[in-house]
Amino acid sequence: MPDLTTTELHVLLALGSGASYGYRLQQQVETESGGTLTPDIGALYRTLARLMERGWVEEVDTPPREEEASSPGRPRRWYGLSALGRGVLAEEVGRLASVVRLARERDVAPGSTG
Amino acid sequence: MSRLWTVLFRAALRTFPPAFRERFGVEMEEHFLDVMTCRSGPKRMWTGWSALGRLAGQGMAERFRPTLSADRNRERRRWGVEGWIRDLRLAARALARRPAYAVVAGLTIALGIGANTAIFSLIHGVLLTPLDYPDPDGLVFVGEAADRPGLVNSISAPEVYALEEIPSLDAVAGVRGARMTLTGFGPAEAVVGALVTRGLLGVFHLEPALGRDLRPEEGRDDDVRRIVLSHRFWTDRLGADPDAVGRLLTLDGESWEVVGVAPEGWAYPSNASYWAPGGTLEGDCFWGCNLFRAVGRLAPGATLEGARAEALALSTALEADHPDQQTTRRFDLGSLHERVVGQARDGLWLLLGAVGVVLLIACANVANLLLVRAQNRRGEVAVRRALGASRGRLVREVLTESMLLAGAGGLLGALLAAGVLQLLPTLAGGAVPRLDEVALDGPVLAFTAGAALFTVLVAGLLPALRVSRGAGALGSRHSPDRRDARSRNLLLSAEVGLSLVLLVAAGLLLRTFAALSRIDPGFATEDVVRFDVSLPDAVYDEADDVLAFADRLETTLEALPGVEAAALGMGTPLTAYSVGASLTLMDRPEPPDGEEANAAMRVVTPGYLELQDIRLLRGRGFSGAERNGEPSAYLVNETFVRRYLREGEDPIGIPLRAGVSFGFGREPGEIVGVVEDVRAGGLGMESEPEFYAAFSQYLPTFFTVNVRTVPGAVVGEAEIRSALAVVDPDVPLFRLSTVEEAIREELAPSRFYLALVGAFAGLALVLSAVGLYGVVAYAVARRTREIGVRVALGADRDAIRRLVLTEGLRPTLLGLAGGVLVALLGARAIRSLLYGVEPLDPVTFAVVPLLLLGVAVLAILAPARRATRVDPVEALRGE
Repeated sequence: MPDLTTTELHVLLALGSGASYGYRLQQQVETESGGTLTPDIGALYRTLARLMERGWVEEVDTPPREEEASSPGRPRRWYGLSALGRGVLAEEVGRLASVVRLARERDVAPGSTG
Repeated sequence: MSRLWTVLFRAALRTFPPAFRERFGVEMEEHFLDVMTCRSGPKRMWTGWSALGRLAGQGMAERFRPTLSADRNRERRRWGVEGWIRDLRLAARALARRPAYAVVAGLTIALGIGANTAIFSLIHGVLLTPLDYPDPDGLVFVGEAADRPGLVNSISAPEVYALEEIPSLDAVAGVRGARMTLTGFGPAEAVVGALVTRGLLGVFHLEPALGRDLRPEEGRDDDVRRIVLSHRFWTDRLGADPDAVGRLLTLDGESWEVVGVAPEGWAYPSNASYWAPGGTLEGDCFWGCNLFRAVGRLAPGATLEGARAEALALSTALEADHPDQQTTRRFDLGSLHERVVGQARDGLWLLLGAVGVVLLIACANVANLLLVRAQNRRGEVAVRRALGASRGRLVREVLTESMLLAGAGGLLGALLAAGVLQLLPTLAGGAVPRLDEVALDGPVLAFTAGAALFTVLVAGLLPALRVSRGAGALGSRHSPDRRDARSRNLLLSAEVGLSLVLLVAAGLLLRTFAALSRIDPGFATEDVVRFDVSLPDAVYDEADDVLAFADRLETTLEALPGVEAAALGMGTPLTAYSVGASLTLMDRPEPPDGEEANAAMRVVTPGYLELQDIRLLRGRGFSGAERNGEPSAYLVNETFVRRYLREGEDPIGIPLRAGVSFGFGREPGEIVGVVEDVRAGGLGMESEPEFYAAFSQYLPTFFTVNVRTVPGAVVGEAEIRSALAVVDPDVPLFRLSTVEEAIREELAPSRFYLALVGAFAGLALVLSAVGLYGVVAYAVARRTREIGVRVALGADRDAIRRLVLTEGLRPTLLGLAGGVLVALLGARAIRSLLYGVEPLDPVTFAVVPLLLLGVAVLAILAPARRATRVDPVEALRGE
């Protein structure tokens, strides 16, 4: 499995909460990373392209509840995690969790008292 | 407003690859506009522009990153930069595994490319680069039409002035070489410069570094003692004195005022240290006194053809105006560049042709090596194709290998060429002009790269296509491939044929050199030292002074140990100074136009003929009793008699008047003797009509001093200089040399071309022999099994040897036949470089093919012998 970039991880994570579209995805990533990640448009779509290429993200139907919210004449593309993407995310998060656990044990994690 | 942003966004989006744009473009635009609607004012501007900037950056990043589809990905890796690098690494590794092959192929290419680069740099620097003057295309030389293109005869000062009136010419300046003696800077010293009819800087569109140019009216008056100095003279002698303008220099005993200094790096002629007025309209040297070479500047918009037509029309008009002028004159003009390099042109193109052939042979050799390699890799290739490797992929691998070889060979070749260029000045010895402008510069290196690319294509393509073919059966590995063998044999034939062409050229040049060396020039070629002397006119202004100087100099020199005789002569053979004159045979009617007698003038002391071994055929020589002011005594040569006198006529006593007055002599007189012809103008030049006048009557102030030494004795420069200083310490000596040296210089061009073409031909011969050996050896190795079977079945060793020899000789003979044909057709192209041998010289055409055949047999014999030693048991067990 290729290493995930931070942006990729956050895109997967954002999509983990349900399907999303470009603009919202960008804001999600920005918020959820605590403002440390501000992917510009190009970077965001390149990331999406790569994730789709690997088969982790796929285009999905517009969720019904969003349909009326979207302005007429401006159809949006929605993206969601594929089953494979979900698995990859879970695995990566699991790996991170074990990293965090280990860091805690060694008292090198932030907030832990040394 | 958002319309503008949309346009800008779409522009920036174009940095992305089309596939990406197609997929995400619309969406990204929406996204961008969403972002923009949330901003306003200056913040909006900032957000917009920075987003666009980053977008473009991402787009480029996307373009140069293999992505999107798996298919595309593979494609890219195959054809992208990474793929090439990988291929190069593979090729380098493959070559490293076969160092002998790599070294032979690389060196072969390096030799071919190096030779080509060196010769092309010559062609580029000498022929293709315009002269290093401002507006060089507008510079022309003008003169009287000569027999040979690119050459003209000198003209007189009034003719120069008449030419200035031609509308197509902006300016014309007459130039003649001068030597004046500089005193006041240590020992007296001869300084070479030029006498001009007007300042040259204006003609060449140059600004003086200091002061001003000579004004046109100053040039026409040789009483004006003003002078322009060359930058080098100013730096070397005057220490680059910024106040040099206005300084007085003592030249030939007179005081000259420096009015200007020419710009750095320029001099015309290139050895001139000064330019002084010399275009007098008065006095002795006027019409018919053809001392000037002329350079001119085309008027803006004027063409060479137009100017040529006008000059020709002018010469006709002048002839009508001056019926007293004795010869028909036709002006001609051409580009100055042509004049400077014209004589080297044929030779240089011959050299380029020769090295081109060497490169072709090198290519053929390398192609053969690659073919053999391809043959060896057949099995591997078949496997890979079966596993799905594309044909393009395999072609590319082979091409990469030849590219690597050509690249390395090209680099090495450039180094080689740089080395050759270092040697060139020594090697050329004056055979080629403008050598100082020859360098390995941008265009030359571009040529080298081109040659390398050519090598790749020629040497690499055929094997590359061959390797990818016949993906088929693995089993074919053992059957000899007829088509491959045919390709190799064809290449061999080409090599042999090309070598033959080169060897024929070298052979013809060798015969030329031999013919030139064998020539009996008619004058003494051994044990003669000579030097030039120029007496300052201001000091030696009396006939008696000149005569006294000559007598004392001869006596003093003859008193030196080791000296047998000394004699003075103006117009000594193989010196650059020869004055032509029109002659009137006074006892017959005026000849029709164009048939007047013209002859080269020699002014000699009585001992001259004996010293030079020039035999007197009739009448008497000079006694020394001839006196200035009395009727002149003349000797004429055989050619003169043949050309201007009636058959069987007795030349002695025919009254003669020379149309040129020279030195102090001007009295008409009569022919007193006939001497044998000498090749005074050059070894390869036919004798021209000559007449000799007595030194004691004409008393020239510049002449050559000839000193004959006792065979084996060495008379040093110091002794000669001190002898001269005894006679007059203020008279300098120039161009001290032996006749042997002069002859060597005379032979320099033919030696130069012979040496280079010979070297290239030798190289071609070696390369062909190596190629022949390689191919035959390979064929033998491949057929070991077959030969083994033959031996086992009872074939004797002679039969085996014959078999191999025949196989090798077939392409050789084919190549020889083709080469002879090409050489027969092409030999005429080098006619102008030949002397004393016909282009279709039977000796050359007989010897060269035999020589080549001999070398071929030698190259084939070694593998043939190996074939006879094949042990049938081993051969059949092997593989």
